[in-house]
Amino acid sequence: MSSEILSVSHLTVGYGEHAAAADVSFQLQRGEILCLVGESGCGKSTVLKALLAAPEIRVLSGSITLEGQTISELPDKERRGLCCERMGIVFQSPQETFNPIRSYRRQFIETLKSHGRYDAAAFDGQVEEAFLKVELTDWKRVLSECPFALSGGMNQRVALALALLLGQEILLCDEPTSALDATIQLQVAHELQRLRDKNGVTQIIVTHNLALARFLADRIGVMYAGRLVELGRASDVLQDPKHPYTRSLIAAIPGLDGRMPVGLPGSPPMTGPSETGCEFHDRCPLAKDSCACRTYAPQQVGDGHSASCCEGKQSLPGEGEEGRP
Amino acid sequence: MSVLEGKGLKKRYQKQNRVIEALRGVDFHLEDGEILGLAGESGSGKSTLLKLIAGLEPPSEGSILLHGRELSTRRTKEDYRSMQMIFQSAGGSFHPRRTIYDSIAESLHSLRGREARVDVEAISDMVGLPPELMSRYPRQLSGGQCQRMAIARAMAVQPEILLCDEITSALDVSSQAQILRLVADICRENSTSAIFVSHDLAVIRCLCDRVMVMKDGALVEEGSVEQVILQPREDYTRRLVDSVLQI
Repeated sequence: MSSEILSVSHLTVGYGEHAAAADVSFQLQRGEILCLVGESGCGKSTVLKALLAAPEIRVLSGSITLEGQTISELPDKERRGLCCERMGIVFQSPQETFNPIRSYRRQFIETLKSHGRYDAAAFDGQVEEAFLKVELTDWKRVLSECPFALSGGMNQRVALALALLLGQEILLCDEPTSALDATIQLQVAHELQRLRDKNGVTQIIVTHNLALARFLADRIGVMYAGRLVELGRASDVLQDPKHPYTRSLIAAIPGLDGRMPVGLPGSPPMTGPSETGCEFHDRCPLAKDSCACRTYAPQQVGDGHSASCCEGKQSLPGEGEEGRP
Repeated sequence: MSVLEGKGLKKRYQKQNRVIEALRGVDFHLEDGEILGLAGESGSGKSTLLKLIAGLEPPSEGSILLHGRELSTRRTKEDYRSMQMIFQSAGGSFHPRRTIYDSIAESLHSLRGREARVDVEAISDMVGLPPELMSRYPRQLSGGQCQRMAIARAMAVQPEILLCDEITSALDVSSQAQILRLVADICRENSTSAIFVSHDLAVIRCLCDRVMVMKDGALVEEGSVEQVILQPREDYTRRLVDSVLQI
């Protein structure tokens, strides 16, 4: 059997007729972590919602194939049922995932029942197993608590445990660490890493932070204005970025060396992908006149590495500047 | 003399029948033109300290001195003007049904008198946004633009000290980088001092001159950013440094 579990091919999705992500293609191998990165509004969460068959998202063209079955062709309800059975999701804000004043036990039972997987006799054993996978040994006490009584990081680990309890093969995480403190961020990142290494959980993680992607990802996809502008192995994308936008995202991350990070001027377009021209040209420090009218399609730039522009090999203005003395 | 000093600051909250000590006796000083970083995890007391400094809450014990003068719990308008606070959620700190201009004008009029005029061009130029955005509502701006406007509102009253509470935590990395550079430029050009609260030591390292690390309401380590981050003395600080994800 092929190790490919999910394949997205030339997928264009939107809210109504308006495309929010266009021509997105990637394959997901079993047991790998793919990180989708980009600024707010770049369409990364839209792709995640499309995979989950969220009701507000419409597939306008292209296909989603789950283990050889083209699920994007199925009627919405059937597709949703299949997706929810096979894919779990962890959201950015753990406090909003759960009802704050109902015990985890009741919420776990409710979720399992809605998935048709509740077995009262086996429940405690299943929960213990899921909690141990996220290193929560004190599972009985945690299960009896209400979410408001626990910290954000703890809530996020319980959310992970719940996703695991449902036994889904693919875990989708939407900014799983952004609402957390730096120390807790690292803990959750370790949990996700452990889930891949010990339990072989395949993951798609959406984040704006390339530093988190560097820590976790096997492969990285960079999105801008609804398009996947660069995709490749994490080491290739980070050490040899081809697209100027990828390079700009790397330059925006503050490090402990005191270098002042360089932010891209302006804001990304909120209108989604355009018909012609590179969406990034008006913010690109390396743009030429022709960028406004040329259409940029992804091209192969290395082994398993594709990018829709290769100008990013040059250094950007402002890169490498020192911070305050 | 320091611009701002805190001596033996304590803050206790009563929660049902328990007393929570959010600050357990903190001393600090802020020098002219300096950017002081305040690092620590949630619950370490860094935001509480900022609230006491801004006069949003009175300390249970201890005193705060502005240019050597002790501030009473009843602050004057001039005291409020000289210290301006910027919050994590910029969108939430603007009135949702007023334009940005109206919110900035309200703050300016209440602190500098009704005759004070909002210099739209100068203010929007300072934060690098087109002036027409001032006539928009907060919901019509992105998170990064909103945070720039919050900085514009704070700077419009010409404060001596900016108090920044996790102002980049809700932004993506690109907007964060823009805001950090903006704060650095504004402080340098206007000789404004600042206290910058963040849980991210990488952010503090690139912006601040000095850093105070807090844990459980007390100060655990203090020094220049280079010294504290590159050669931390305390295990807790080392843990914070190690948790920074780097590229």
